[in-house]
Amino acid sequence: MTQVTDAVVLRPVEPAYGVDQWLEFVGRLHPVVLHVPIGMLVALLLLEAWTLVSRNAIPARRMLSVVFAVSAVAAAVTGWLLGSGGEYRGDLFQAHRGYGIAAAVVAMFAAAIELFGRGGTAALIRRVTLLLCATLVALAGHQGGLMTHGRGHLADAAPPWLAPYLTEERERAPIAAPPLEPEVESEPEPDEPPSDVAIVVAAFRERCFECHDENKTKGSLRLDVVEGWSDGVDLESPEDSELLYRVVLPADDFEAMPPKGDRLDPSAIDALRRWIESGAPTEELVRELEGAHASQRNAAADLDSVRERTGARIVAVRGDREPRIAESRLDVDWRHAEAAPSTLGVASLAPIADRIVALGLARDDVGDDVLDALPGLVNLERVHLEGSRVTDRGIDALVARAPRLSYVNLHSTAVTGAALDALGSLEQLERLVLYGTNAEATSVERFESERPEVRVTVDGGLPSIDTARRILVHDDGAGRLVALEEVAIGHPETVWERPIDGASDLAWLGDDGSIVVVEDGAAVHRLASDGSLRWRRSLDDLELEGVRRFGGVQALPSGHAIVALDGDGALAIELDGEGAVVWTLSAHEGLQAPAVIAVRD
Amino acid sequence: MLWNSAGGFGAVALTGMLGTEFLKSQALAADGVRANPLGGTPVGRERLARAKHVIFLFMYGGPSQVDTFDHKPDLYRLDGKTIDVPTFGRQGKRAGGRVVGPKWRFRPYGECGKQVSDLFPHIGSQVDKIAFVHSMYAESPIHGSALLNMNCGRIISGHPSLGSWVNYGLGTINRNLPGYVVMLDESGGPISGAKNWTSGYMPASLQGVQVRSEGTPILGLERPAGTTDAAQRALLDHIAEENGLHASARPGNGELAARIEQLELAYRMQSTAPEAVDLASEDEATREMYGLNDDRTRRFGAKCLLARRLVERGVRFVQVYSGGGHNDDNWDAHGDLVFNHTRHAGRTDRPIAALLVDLERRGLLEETLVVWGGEFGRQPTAEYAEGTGRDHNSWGFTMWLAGGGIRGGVSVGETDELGSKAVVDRFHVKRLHATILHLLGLDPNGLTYFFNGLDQKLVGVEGAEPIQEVIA
Repeated sequence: MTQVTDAVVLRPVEPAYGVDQWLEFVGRLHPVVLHVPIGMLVALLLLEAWTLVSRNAIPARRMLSVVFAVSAVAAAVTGWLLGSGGEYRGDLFQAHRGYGIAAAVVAMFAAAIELFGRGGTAALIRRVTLLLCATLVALAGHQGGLMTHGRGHLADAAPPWLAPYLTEERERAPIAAPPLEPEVESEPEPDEPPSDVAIVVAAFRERCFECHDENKTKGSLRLDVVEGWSDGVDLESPEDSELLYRVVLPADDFEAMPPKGDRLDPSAIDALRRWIESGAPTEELVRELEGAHASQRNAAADLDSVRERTGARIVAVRGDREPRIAESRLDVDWRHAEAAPSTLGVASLAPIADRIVALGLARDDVGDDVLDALPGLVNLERVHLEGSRVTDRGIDALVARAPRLSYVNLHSTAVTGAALDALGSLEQLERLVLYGTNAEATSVERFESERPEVRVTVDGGLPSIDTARRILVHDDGAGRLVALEEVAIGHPETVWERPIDGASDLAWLGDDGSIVVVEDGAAVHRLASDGSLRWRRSLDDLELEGVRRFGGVQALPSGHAIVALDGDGALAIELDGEGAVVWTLSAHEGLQAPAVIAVRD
Repeated sequence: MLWNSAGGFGAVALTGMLGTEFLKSQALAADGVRANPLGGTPVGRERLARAKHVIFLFMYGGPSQVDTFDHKPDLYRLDGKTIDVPTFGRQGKRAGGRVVGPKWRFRPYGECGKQVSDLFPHIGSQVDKIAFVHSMYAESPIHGSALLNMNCGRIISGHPSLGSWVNYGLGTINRNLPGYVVMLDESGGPISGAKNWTSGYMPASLQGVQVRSEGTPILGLERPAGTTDAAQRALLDHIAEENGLHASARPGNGELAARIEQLELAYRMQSTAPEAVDLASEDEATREMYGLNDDRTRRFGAKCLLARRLVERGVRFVQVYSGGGHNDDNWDAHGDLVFNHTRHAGRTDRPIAALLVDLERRGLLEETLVVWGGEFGRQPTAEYAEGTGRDHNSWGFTMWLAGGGIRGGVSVGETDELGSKAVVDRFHVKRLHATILHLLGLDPNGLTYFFNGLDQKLVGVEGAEPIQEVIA
């Protein structure tokens, strides 16, 4: 598709390459230059040690201390230039700058003593100065490393006893988490849509903080503090607010923000416009920014290291309707992980514990000890334990840690009805899967009556269903009995057939599809649903006096059959399921040889 | 030797093999409207996505709606009468024809009282879990294009299938199994074969993998005779090294990355796949329930049971075909409707109901979306002068969904009184696709893949909204 436009295409003016650009270029060499003095320092310390043994080292030492001082100054100068670009801010940066300059100054001092100092006192001062310098370089270097690689870079991988010294404000989570009685905060109104400010802060946090926060402040703009917002707002003419028009501009405009990637979500832009038009109130903004700050810190930390320590699959859950993933709501799943969850592993969930909403421990190498080791999981909603070795005791431990569970899957575990007491205390429980457990029917029934809103699955099977219409035909011409099934309306199919010497009557018996047939007045047959003979009773078998032949037959709901008797003696007999006589109707005055009889129970 | 196993394997192309990193970068580049679906801002208080897995029971050939779930009481009386009703099938457009009345009685089931025909008494017992969509329509009344329409969203070749989109959007859960599995009918595959589970322009690793419920589960996967594990590992390591060298000069080559991962996944699957398909480990009651002891239901039952086992093991998308090959080997009842539908319903009714029951009692139905349907439905009129055969009908047909966030016991949309055409709340196939993506927590209109200068979507350029009426 070709886009036709009359508009003049604006191109950014090529800036001249001048002093500023040169200075910026030199500043960017800082990460390279800074390694020179570090190397020199190490060499210098070695030479200093060598001096104690041999005087041969002195000329080299004197030369190196000058080179060290010069390179330290070069590192400090390039660092200053880089820092002046405005992209770096914050405590860490300030400290790094301070220690770096101090290291350069001390290095110069050490070189001066080396060149002009004489005697034992000077040597002592020189050595002390060098050690001081080494300390300063180490501190500055560590801070620089944190700025480049993130605050947890070293601490996360360090041995636990060392880790606390390598990071500043962050508290390390204890490895063995204590069981706790979680304090549940009141649930925020679920139906309340996010406010405009919340929408904009969320969008800015995602797309803008990267370059405009305390650590990196391109164009001297910080969007993580209120001032940065207020400065970009034009209350007289909202559309001219820099905050707004820069994000509204098309992507190819050189002033457009964000400079890379997609444009901001239109809903966020609308929310921003509404906020400015409403006078850009800051009260809620302050709150939201604080929240964003806190969650930013939390989110950046921990996840990767927890993932590594636990071996679990940790992903943000998908929200309903939302393609976005929530760093703040996590699904932690060992179900398909290589290694089983260890007690140490689950305990190390502590730093992210309040973000976990789903937990998968459904594997046969998980037992109660794993549940015991869980930290408090105040926001846990769904837990999969099916097929694990957990018992009632483990469920107690789980419930004590996860009060907001709504879905608990325990199928194919050894839990019993005793676990239901603990589970009953879960106020938000909606679904409980107990299929294949040892939970007794009575306990489950009691639980269900106490908590009718909880859907409990204990067992399930398919109802036995036979809806097809069956037709029994005595085909006299061919001397056979045929059972047909109507597979479709008017479309019978033969289920079975068997030869018979003339059937005088027949009937279905009960629901099991069995049949009673009177064969030519001489015998009663009972056939199973597949047509096989269950039993046969002839007149002789029954030894009925005066009866010449069997008459019609009728099935009773009980599965018994009433057979009319044709003769001088009894009128009818009732045969049970096995063909035994349970009742005989004796001859009645005036009744002669009844062929058919109907009985109502 | 390895080439042999890798070659066979390469043909099936497995998913779940690319690092999420690659998909992340793709998604970021691809998504034009919204934020990167794999990136991160807090969702906050919203409800969790309800489905994690999909089992698509594909009734290839097109089951007749008026004989299964779309009750048309008036149609019985019209049996044999010639009426004016426009139809469009493989015979082209016709102005009318001889009505073939529904061949099965309907009876109400469940608390919702849904009318289901006697073809599906077992599924009937599960209607309270099911949402029926009676007003589906598709773009083509011809098998090949309609199948592509149902599987890939378009009637033309080359677009990724639904299972690929799902795996692209969600990523894999279990790196030892493919994320997208297809099980074919024993009589063969559907028309166009692998086009129905292709990954199209997406990386080959998102393609469906054929798994068999009997015999060797995945062809070409086993280690060649005489090769030891150590030898195979050494060979794979060497190939990986060479491939790595090759890849380092070609950054961002998805096909190459997929190939490297495929070899590794195939290796891992040599041990995981046999366990996943071991139906003998299921208890007897379960095997009985799925109909494994009955010759009629044994084959499809095994596939349904296998589908459950795969979902338990983290497979995202499982497609099971009922019917394959030609004519009455699938639901394509042109000649004898009664013979055809009795045969296929008889094979599938019990296993499908068992699948719903089994998923439910294991607490899996909440996370597993079950979809039932064919590529289209059938006409109320006869195709030929004689007989009960019905021609294709893409103007109106029934599909149903269960589990995974579906509101059970509802029926939405209606066809006309003859069941010939959707008339009330009509839903295009892409509305079904949108519903499936939505329930998985994906935005059907935001999930895009950049190809050929366009942010491609499963639901097409115009987009589509989910069918809200069936969502709980």
